[in-house]
Amino acid sequence: MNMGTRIIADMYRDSVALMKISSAITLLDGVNQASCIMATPANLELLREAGLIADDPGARPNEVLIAVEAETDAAVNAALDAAEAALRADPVVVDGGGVASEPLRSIEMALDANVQANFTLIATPGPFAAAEAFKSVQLGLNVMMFSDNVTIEDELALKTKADQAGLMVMGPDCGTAIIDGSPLGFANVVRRGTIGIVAASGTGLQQVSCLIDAAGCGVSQAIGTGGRDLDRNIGGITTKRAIATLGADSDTDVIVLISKPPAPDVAAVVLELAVATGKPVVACLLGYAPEGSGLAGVSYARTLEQAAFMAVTASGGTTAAEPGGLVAAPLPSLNGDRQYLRALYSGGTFCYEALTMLGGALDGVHSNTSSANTQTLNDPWTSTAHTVLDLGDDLFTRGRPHPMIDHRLRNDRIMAEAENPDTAVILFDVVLGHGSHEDPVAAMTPALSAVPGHANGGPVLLGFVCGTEGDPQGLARQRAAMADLGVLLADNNAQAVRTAAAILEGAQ
Amino acid sequence: MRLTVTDMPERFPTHVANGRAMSVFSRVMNVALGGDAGPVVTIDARHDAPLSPGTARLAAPDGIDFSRLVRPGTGLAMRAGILRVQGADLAFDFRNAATMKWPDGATHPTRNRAKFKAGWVDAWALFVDTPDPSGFAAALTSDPQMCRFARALVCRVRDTIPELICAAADTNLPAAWACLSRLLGTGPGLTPSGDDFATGFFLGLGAGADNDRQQAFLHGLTRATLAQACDSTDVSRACFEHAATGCFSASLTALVDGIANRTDDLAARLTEVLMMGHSSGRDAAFGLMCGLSAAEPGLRAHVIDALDITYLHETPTR
Repeated sequence: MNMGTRIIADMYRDSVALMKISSAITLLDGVNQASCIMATPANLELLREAGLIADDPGARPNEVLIAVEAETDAAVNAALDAAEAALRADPVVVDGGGVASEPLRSIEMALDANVQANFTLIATPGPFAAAEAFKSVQLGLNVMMFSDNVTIEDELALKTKADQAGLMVMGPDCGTAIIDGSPLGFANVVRRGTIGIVAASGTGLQQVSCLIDAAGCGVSQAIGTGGRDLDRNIGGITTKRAIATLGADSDTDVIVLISKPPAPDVAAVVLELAVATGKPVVACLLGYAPEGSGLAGVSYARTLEQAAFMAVTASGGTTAAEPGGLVAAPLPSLNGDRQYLRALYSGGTFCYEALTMLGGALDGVHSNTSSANTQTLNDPWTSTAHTVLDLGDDLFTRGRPHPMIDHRLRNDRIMAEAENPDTAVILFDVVLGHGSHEDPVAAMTPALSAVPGHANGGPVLLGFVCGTEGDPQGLARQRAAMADLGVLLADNNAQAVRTAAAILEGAQ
Repeated sequence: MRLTVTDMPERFPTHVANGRAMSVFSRVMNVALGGDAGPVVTIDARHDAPLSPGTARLAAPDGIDFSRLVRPGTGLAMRAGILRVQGADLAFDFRNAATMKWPDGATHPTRNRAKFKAGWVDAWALFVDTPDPSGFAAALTSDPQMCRFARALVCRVRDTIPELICAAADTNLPAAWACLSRLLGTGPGLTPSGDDFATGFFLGLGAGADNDRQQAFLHGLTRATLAQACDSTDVSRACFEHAATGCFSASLTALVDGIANRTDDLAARLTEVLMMGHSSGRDAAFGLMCGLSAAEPGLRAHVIDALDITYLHETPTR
């Protein structure tokens, strides 16, 4: 006699169905006995007692085991095939009853179509965003609000409601996140690794994650919170939940906190929570000065570059260079009466980082972003002395795409600054990644190529690329294109700012 | 189509959980939520479905047939009180469902022994006279066409149940566990017959237990079963967990009550239990009768005779 078994994984059938199949295959030609059972150890023992199996077939209790005894191997196989076909036969007609599927017009319709979705990305115009976010939380979904122009009252109400429901609201104005390896918004393609990031700063998150990637390390999760989360009115609701999430995440060994200036009392609370996770904490809270030497267990970084370096070191990686240096190329001298820096950022955190670094180094720094030691521009459309601009500010983006996507606004400003005889250095960022312009340097080429070269008495063009080789635009390709245009290349924003300051100080 | 759930189990995860459909019948679905360690829940759309542990009851139109909408293994997700089924126009709204409060304590038939014994004998007669050879009850009949697996199962039942009842009567935990462990997980189907039998057996023992020694014995037997529940299906594991906390199907507890008080509607109460699943109700009723019989030597003899194991009857251990 010949015997055979087959295991059908993750198959559940009631006893009626199994007995019917057992009976049907027993009637097949050449079959003596057949049984379909849930493969509990006790049932396997009974099959052995019945002589239908000899060895342990390796089946588990939630699997169906088909056991056949027949006159020939061919009959065994035919019976096993017939039983499996019967088990897998789909009694279900899921055709929508002939009703054509409708296009998805609401979050709830999308959830019906993809029931295990747990996350909504909202990128509607600001006035509609809060309502959609409330609907999402009501539906039990976490939220990433790419949209800006949401009132702080709505933000507080939304985050409070979500937190009570065990959900997280990233945003509003959350431009970047990397969740379970999926880049969202303006995120870069970085390696997966053990460093978790919580950031109230989109480009800050991008810069640190790209530098971590460049050092050969990776990111477990990168959670954007929205720029106002560490405001006293919001109280770090999302940051606290994100820290708890990373604290419980076995794939995260190091926690990095990044933000533009936080409310000091809120910063103190979230830092204590981060330390309580027991994991190494790196804090780059620009403009925040902890009391004394700060909390034990926290490494305080003054720049994004330093934050990445500390995170890589804490995770056991190594970086090629310690932070603090200048560009490798010789520094150019300034032409004529050119004496002022004009920094034109698409990334808001880059702008703020530059202001914190330059505040004590250069006199008369003006900006559309308020910061200690800097003066607010009366007219952001016209530069005054040293000017550092966040071109992603609402003032510039209302009614038009963000400058990471549409370079026309910045191109115009580059041309205007180049024509100004006071302009000594034009500093700019190029941000790669999903969501950004598909070829940003090509988009800037008309403006950059129109600037008189430094050798011809023009200003110094100084730039850096925030991106990775994995980004769709390609880091090396963008850097090469910038070099071809005569741009002095830095590795990151902090290095670019130090270099700009050195060039200007050299001239003095 | 969104159906409204009227009652749901305690500690049911109504906010965010993913899961899958495990088994699907025309008006009943078993679903697992929240990963391997999460609860298994029965969604029951039958009219006048009895209260059962781990069961959510709902209002559904007459024509609804889950088995034509959902295939086993289909993903599903709970979001903010609504359970949606992937790829099917089907969702269950738990937001206004009442949480089932399980009554504490069971009827103790042994407190009026005469009535209990008469009720038990009535119920047993009804049980053995109902012609259906499925599950463990096949051991009470003779079927020469039985397949080898079924024959092996019947032999085990005939060998084991009498010893189990006697061990339970003696509150001999090692001996009882040795017997029960031979029955657990046996039988085809999503809840193997041995598991349904055990559930009924626990209820019967608990109803008949009227001293600390018997309670401790039952507790030990239940804990041992739970510890081994990983050797059975997820649905069985869920049933045992409910049984360990004293939660049983309302139909089963109504049958205990009917036996204890020898109610006029005993036949109807038994029929309602027998209608549970294919053989599940019958196996649970069998276990219940066996568990109750442990309290009375005279009743044990009925079971032992019926299983045709005369040597135990001829030389009773007590």
